[in-house]
Amino acid sequence: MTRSFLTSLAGVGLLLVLAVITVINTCQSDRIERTHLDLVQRVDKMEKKLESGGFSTSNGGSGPTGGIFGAPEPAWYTAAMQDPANLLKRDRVDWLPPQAESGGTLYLHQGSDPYGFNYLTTSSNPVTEIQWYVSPPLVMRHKRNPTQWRPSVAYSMTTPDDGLTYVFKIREDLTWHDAAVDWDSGRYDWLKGDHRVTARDVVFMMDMLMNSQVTGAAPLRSYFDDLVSYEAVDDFTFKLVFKRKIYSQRATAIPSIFPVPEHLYAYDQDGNRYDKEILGQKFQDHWYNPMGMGYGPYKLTKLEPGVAVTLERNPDWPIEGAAFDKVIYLILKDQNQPPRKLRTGELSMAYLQPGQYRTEVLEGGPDSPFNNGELTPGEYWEQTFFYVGWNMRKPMFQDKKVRQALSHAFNADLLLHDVFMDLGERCTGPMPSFLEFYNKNVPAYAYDLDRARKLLAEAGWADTNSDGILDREIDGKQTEFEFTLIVYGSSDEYRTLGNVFKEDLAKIGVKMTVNPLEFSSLLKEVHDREFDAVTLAWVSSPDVDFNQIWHSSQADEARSSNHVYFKNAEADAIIEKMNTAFDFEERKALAHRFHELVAEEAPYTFFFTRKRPAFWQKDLQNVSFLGYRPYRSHWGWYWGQP
Amino acid sequence: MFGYIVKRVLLMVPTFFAVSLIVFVVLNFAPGNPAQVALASGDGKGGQNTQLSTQTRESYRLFKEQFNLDKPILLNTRFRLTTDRVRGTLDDLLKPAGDVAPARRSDAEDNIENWGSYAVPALMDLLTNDADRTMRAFASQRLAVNSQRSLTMGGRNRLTDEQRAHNKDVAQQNGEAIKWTFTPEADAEREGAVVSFWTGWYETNRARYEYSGSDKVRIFFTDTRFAKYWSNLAHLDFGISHVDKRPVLPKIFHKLRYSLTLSLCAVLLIYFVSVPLGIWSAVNRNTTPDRFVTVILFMLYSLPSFFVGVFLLNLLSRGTPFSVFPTSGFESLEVGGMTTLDRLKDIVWHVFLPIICLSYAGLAALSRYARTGLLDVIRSDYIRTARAKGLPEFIVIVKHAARNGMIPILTLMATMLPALFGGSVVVEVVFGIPGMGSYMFESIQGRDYNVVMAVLLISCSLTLVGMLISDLSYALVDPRITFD
Repeated sequence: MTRSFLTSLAGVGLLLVLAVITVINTCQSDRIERTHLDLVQRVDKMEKKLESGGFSTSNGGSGPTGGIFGAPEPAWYTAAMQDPANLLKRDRVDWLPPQAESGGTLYLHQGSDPYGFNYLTTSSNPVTEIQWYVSPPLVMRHKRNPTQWRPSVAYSMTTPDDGLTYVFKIREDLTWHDAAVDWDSGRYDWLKGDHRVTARDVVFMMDMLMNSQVTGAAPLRSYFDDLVSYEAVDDFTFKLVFKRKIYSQRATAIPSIFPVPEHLYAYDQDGNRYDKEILGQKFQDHWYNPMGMGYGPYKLTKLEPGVAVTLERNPDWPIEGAAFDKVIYLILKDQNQPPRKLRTGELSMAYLQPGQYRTEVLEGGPDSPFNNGELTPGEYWEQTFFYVGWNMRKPMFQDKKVRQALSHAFNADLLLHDVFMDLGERCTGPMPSFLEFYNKNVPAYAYDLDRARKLLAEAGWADTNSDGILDREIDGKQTEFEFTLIVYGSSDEYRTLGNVFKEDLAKIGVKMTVNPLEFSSLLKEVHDREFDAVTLAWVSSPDVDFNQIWHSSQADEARSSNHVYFKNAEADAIIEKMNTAFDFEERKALAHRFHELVAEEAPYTFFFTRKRPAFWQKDLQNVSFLGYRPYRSHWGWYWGQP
Repeated sequence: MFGYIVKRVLLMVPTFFAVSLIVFVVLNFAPGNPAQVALASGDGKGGQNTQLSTQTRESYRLFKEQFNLDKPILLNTRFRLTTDRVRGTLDDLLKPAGDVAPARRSDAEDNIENWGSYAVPALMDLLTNDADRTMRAFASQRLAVNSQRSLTMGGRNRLTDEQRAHNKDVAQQNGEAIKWTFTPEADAEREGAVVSFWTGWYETNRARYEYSGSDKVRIFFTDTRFAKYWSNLAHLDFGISHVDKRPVLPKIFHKLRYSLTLSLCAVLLIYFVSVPLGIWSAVNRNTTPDRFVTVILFMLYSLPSFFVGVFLLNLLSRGTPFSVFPTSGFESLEVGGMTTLDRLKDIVWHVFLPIICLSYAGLAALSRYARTGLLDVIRSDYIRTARAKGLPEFIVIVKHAARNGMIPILTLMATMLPALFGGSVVVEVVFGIPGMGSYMFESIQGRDYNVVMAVLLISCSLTLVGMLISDLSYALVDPRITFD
């Protein structure tokens, strides 16, 4: 027994000695490793210097252009801008001021992991935002006036027969970024060399988009229902033909076209081309999908799931606006992290949630970095409107007066002020409140419980059995006014909204139960049309398209967006007119009437359009936001002294 | 002993099967399915455009086919599909939209799609014999879809020449079939042409749609989601994620790196602190210091970790009064210029707070176990003997009492195996560590069945192994226990 105790003691001692030796060994090799790393870094720097040196000679250094201000404007581009038939107009806003400097790293964040960067098959928010820089679309909206189009990959868009055929001229000075693969292994030699962006890459994108096997592109495909044909007329001309002339083709379909690199996605890892029978599925599940290839101002260089996505500036990009050497998107899943990292400077910019806005800004005191000038405050508006929707399949919501009464019982101003911290603006109709299509003359439903009671009485609701809840005969049965509101349960604000509304409704004799659901379950209830009432938000396009949410033809479609069963002949007529109206003033007048009509019918109780309170480090200059997604586009921002 | 181990290992197989069955069924019956999640475009809250055109519908069908979501969950009785059943379903779709409840309508759409080739005989029957022309027309349109055969994709491997030829053939036939439909407005001539095409086609392919008794048994058990899943599982293929289409297993191993580091360190810390603490408590039992420590430990035990995590971050992370630790992450973003030692320091600096968060609760529990364990033996006769023969108190406790008193503690270690693997959702989210816990949580939200199944099944097998190890370790440390 004694001996075994001694042996174990000896064993422990031996382990300790080994541990000490390991530590000493690591410390010794540390010094060698450091010298080695220093050397590697020095060589890297020299290589970079050589590269950039080579560049300035080839550019010829011509005046104010070059570097972050873009290459000198080519003659074909100037000519295209002067062509009156070109639908793409020069955006007169300068992206970068003349004193702008290049360099530095910009740190932004995303709330969830991007699931790979095959931009056609993945459409989560982080991916679409990064696509904006890596693989921008053929045409883009103007910065200030989002109903106008400006050149991007295409520098000319003409329609010879007024709206059925579209012809695009594609820039001839774009090349695909190098693939992020292990070049040393020799396996990817077939990918080597410069590949130019051509019209054939656009055709390849369309091929994949229209291929049913590419399941991820299905949501986008529905915008191309009226497509007749598409082709590459020559290397840099792309032609698209539609069956009918519909406004949403120009507003939604065309801006979602971008080149996709055929030289990469049509091949397997060893450079063998996939058979055309299975190409769609192979594209959908492509081996390169975790990364993404583009041609834009930034290239995707590193992707660490759950940690960060790194973009680096593409020196070959010929258009101005990209000033940072690197842009890093941190993946922060905990909403408490962004304000914390703003304080430490680990994030260059972030927006605050309503609750954080209260604690950090409103109650933060003058010494809080959010108030004392260390961080610059600003805001941007989102293309959203929040609402409570009434399912008109349920008999109790079929009467317009009932819906109006419920709208009068919704204390929107109080909720906006106390729960959403005034981060937004009341909205009275089916679009964001800041658009020109929004009719400012439509009054909001005032919070007025007496009026609500009166309207309900007019609709025939009375408390006949004196149980405190209104009732009425529906289909021969005495029915109590009871229903359930489903809300997105992961959001504190939504839950509070439900509870406040519930108490107000109790005062007018309506019993509402609040049911917080996880998002998938919420979606299922909405798709199956089993819900009574739901609170959600819609994201609108700057051109507003009411067809998807409000047309009566969508009401009976399972899983369509008209989940409240809105059917109105006049609304249908307006929507159909707007579908084919291209004139801005005409569209505006129609939208104004539509707004009036929907507000009167009250299928939704409209709530508000949200703005985001953003804060950024004070050295970040020339910050401005877009009126459309991605709102916080960093084109034109730069690091410099104020 | 060997016989016992063999018996236990053999018992594990049915247990594992039962667990996988239950998990699979529960998962597949949860509301919402990956196809729906995949088709709702990614705007998060609202903004989804899920109305399906024909082309889109085809994508939806292929998605279901790729992940076997068109198959019944456990048992397949589709070979018994009757014409009446199919007719009823088609009828739901043909009625004016307002007359059928939307949920029923979308179920009908899913059903006729999911039945796939099993509905072909019934559809043929409808096409040739039904009295209603609209129904016949619709049957021809459905036939064009339901007779589609799937292509061989070959997973990661290159297709062989035979497979490629087969694909060409199938694609050609599919392309042909899709053309042979007619609408109710079409003339009788068109209908005649379509019907004669399909009759001819059915004659040549009849064998495929007639099932012998053994075929039926095979289909009943094997043409199901569960059977397909198991046949993949049998060669350790956990499938690919519905969300990012990458193989599940490598991703789990990647995440495991983070979770294992955290939980291993936490377990070591727990043992290194709680065992001496428990011994100390047992020696000084029922004194004021012992009571004081007990109260403190129980207070720690009752603090929720999300609270402690946020509290520690707000107090100790950068930008706060004490500014010691980083705000989140497993390591710094730029590790390129670091030596091994620097990197090690960097990781320790990052994971210090998370480990504290993971371990303080376990500390309380385990030190109580250690205290009780030692109290049990400290009253034994051989301890009295040891004291009586004049050994110093330290040797009595450490050499004689502790070794026997710690047996329950050692065996507890084995049961920690699955917990090591699973990670912690709360701590990982609060400290921004991309480990198993948060991965699992997101996968459940996204209805990523393959990931959830894989994680749960690996956890399950680790639990089984852990229990076996725990039982065996009893026998190893305590020679009085045998299994023979």
